[in-house]
Amino acid sequence: MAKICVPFMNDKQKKELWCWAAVAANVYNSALQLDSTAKKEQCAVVQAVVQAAVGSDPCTVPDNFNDTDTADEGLNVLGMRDGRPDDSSLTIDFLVGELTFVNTSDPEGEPVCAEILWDDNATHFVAVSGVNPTNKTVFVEDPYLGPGNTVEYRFQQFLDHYGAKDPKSLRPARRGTVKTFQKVKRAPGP
Amino acid sequence: MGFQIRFLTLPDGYPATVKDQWSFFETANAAQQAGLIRAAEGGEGVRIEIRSISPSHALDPGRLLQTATTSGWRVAMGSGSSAIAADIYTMQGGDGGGADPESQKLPQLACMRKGPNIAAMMRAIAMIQKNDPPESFDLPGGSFVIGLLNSPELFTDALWLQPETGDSKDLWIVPYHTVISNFPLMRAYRAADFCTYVRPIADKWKILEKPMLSVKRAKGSRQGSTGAPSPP
Repeated sequence: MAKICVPFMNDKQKKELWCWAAVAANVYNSALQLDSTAKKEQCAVVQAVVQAAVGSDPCTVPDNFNDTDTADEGLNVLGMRDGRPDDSSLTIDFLVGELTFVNTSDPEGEPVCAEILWDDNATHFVAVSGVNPTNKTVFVEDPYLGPGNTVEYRFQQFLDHYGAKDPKSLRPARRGTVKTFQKVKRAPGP
Repeated sequence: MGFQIRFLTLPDGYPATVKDQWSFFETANAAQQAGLIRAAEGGEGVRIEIRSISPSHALDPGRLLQTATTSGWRVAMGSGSSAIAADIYTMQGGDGGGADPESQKLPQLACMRKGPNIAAMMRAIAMIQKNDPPESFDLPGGSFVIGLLNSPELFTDALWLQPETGDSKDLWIVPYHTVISNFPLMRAYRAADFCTYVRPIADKWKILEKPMLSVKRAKGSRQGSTGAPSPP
């Protein structure tokens, strides 16, 4: 089976700890027409989650809101969360199912968000925009890297050692371990 | 005494890994695949050891590389839009245990990268080699081994330069990609100065008592519905 992929715009995260908001905004914006004016800024996603007072909000003073959260929360406020994050679906077949074009009520495949645990309680979020089930590779869109930097990973290496390979770590390793996949649904109206 | 950098040679078995496993990937075109194999075998291109540091290591700049763990190698070639890299991770063979884990280490081609990030890495290496601009790379004379400093939690990609000859024993770090505000790239920093920039991120992670994971608070998830213990 050949590579299955969906179009994805991978804007760089605007703050050090906004990977979660960046992934959510990138998923949302990738579902829009290229000339759409409805694009979501990362700070707007953060604001929708934290509900700060106008004037002291993440778009006005982003440094005050440089905090970690989770991509599923960002997707939720954008109306794009499809179910809950799931650690029982960390398989190639799951990715194929989500990314595959289906000509029914789900007219296009959707990217999948992945939640990663690193050292010292650090977490990270990326999107998977493609999968090659024959070669068992995945195409990862990391908001830390930004546009044009899609990384092709062996699937098992992606699951066990994303971004950092600890030579002593075997699953369930702590560093670089994908903990869950998050399904995405098309936002209402884009 | 002039300044020069030296690329290490890949360990035995690693060039063969690139040659044997590139076909799993479709990121590289035929010319790039051939170029990566040549680079792995010691030809044109770069071979750099990847050393990983955790956020806590950034709090101890005097021992930055000593506390880092070797996690693999990166082979790269090209420049600009043709730049491409392959990361080879060192895996534990068998069940990962045994009397001599060192003897069981196996290389595996983990991922292929291309795009502006790899182009920036290659540009940084070229700038260091040319010492251009000199005010950014005011390095002491001698020979330096060059490698990749992997610190994903600190959201900064950098090269390390470790002196192997000459009078200086200082480690130098050249960041080429970051999301940290007001962190000038493409210049050589002493380890302590580099850590000054990344320390606020290390501190941010340090104050968290637990990682912020969605699975811990997803009421409908397996963990939430069964009351099973949270993951570490």
